[in-house]
Amino acid sequence: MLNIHELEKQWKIYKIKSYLPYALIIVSLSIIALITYIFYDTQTKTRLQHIKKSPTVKHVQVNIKKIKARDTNKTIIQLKAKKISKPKLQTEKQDKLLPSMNFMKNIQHEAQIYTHSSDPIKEKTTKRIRKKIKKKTSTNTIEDVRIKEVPKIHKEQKPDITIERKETQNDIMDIIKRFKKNNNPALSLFVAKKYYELGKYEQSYNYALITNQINSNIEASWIIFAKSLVKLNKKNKAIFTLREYIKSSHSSNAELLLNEIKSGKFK
Amino acid sequence: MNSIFVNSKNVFLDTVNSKDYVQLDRVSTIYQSLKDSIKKPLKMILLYGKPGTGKSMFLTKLHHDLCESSNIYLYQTPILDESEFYKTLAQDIFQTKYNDTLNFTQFMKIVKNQENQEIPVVLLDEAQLYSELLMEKIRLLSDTRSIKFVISLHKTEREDLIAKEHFQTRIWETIELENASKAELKIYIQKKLMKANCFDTANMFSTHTVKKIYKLTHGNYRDTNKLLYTLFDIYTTYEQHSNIYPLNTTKVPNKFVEMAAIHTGLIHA
Ligand SMILES: Nc1ncnc2c1ncn2[C@@H]1O[C@H](COP(=O)(O)OP(=O)(O)OP(=O)(O)O)[C@@H](O)[C@H]1O
Ligand SMILES: [Mg+2]
Repeated sequence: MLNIHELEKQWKIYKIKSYLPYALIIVSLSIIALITYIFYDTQTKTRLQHIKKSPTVKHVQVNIKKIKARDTNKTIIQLKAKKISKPKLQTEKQDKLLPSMNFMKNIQHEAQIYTHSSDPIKEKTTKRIRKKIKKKTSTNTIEDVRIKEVPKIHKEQKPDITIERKETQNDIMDIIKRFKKNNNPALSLFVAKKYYELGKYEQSYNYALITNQINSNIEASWIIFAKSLVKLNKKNKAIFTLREYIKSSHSSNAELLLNEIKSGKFK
Repeated sequence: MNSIFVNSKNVFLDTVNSKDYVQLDRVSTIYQSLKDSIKKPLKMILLYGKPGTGKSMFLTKLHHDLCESSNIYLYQTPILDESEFYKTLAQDIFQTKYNDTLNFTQFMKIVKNQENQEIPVVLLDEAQLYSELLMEKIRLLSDTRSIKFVISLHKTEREDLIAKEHFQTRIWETIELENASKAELKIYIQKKLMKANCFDTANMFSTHTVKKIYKLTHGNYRDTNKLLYTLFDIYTTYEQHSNIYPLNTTKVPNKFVEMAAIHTGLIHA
């Protein structure tokens, strides 16, 4: 006689065993997904912290101190301005524009990982995914260090950046995008003015500086530059910069602003 | 107790009986060609295949069909003692009784002295059990063309070797029996049940269920018999246990097939 109860028990064990591999695969996949999510989440957070730690104002101080210490000869100042502004331009790009891009990259990485995880050869791919993650993170850090590579990546990622920031600074980002394509100082000046209007003086300072670097004869750019400095509580530096500019350009508008700043009319 | 499940269960008892023979297209062609081969002046015919592919059934059926019309003898279990082997053949074929031992030379003499109109056909099942020495004697006997042997062998690597070494040059015909295909398996199961008037249970074996069975047995007749015997045993048990499980004859639950497979050792729980 057949022991049906025993057989039923065995059958249940068999069923559980046959579903076990699938259950394991699902569990391990979700764990991997969770780990990658946490991993990138913390990465973006540390990046944001990193940005906060290095404000551009410090660079401004240092650079202008250097100018002060040197001879006030017109040509030398212009050269200095160019020299100084170069590294600033780069750090500015790196500090301000990289984070959003990394974020976009992370999203792309995650998307890649998810497509990979649907692969039938599960065990092997999970290993590969981990390797990929490691590789990707290492390239991320390398990008931060190698400033020269940054512009290239900017070009590739441009559409993504605008989508990211559109919510807050729609038109400015559009202009920045166009500026990056053609390096037209009129656009960077526009951006500087816009940022100045929005009260984002660090940004307006930066874009005015970029504009001055491309073309050092734009009066409006020097004015925004000086105004931003005042707003950033660098009144003395603003006065100094304007004086140097007036010496080379004899700009009456610059002189007017200089007087206003000196008299405390412009704050 | 005369339940349909009990009757169906008994259909799959592992017995070899010519009455239970199911006509399957492939087997029928082989069967016909063997029948023809016997009539041809062949010395020896080798029938081989994996265990449970129906070799014994095949020989039984052949013997059953031809025993009235021709001089045919079936030995389902091998006679391992050489003298006993000759004595049995002498008595069965030539009606010569020997009380003493009979050796090969003596038996050869008897064979040659016979002037039979029709050459006797000897069917030897489970021939892999015969010693190499006796096998060699059987070969020599068949060389005289006075007795025709049909030899059935398990097909394993070792037996393949026997087949090659002992018969390659002398065997005029080899016939291989194989496991059933999916379609054949369905016909096999349904025909077997219908032969026993179990029409309801025969209907339970849809293509889906047969596929599942095929996966487990690979179409081997003996494994299928074992599996289905247990399957109907499960049905009968549930039936007796006042229907713990709702039983119907529309389809076979996968659960039952898997349980039967666990019980017969086709899958390991
Ligand atoms: N054509 C058939 N019709 C009905 N039943 C069959 C048929 N072929 C095989 N079987 C069944 O399959 C089972 C196994 O077949 P059989 O005993 O003939 O295999 P075998 O090849 O002789 O195996 P072994 O090599 O172990 O002796 C038997 O119980 C038999 O009833
Ligand atoms: Mg057999």
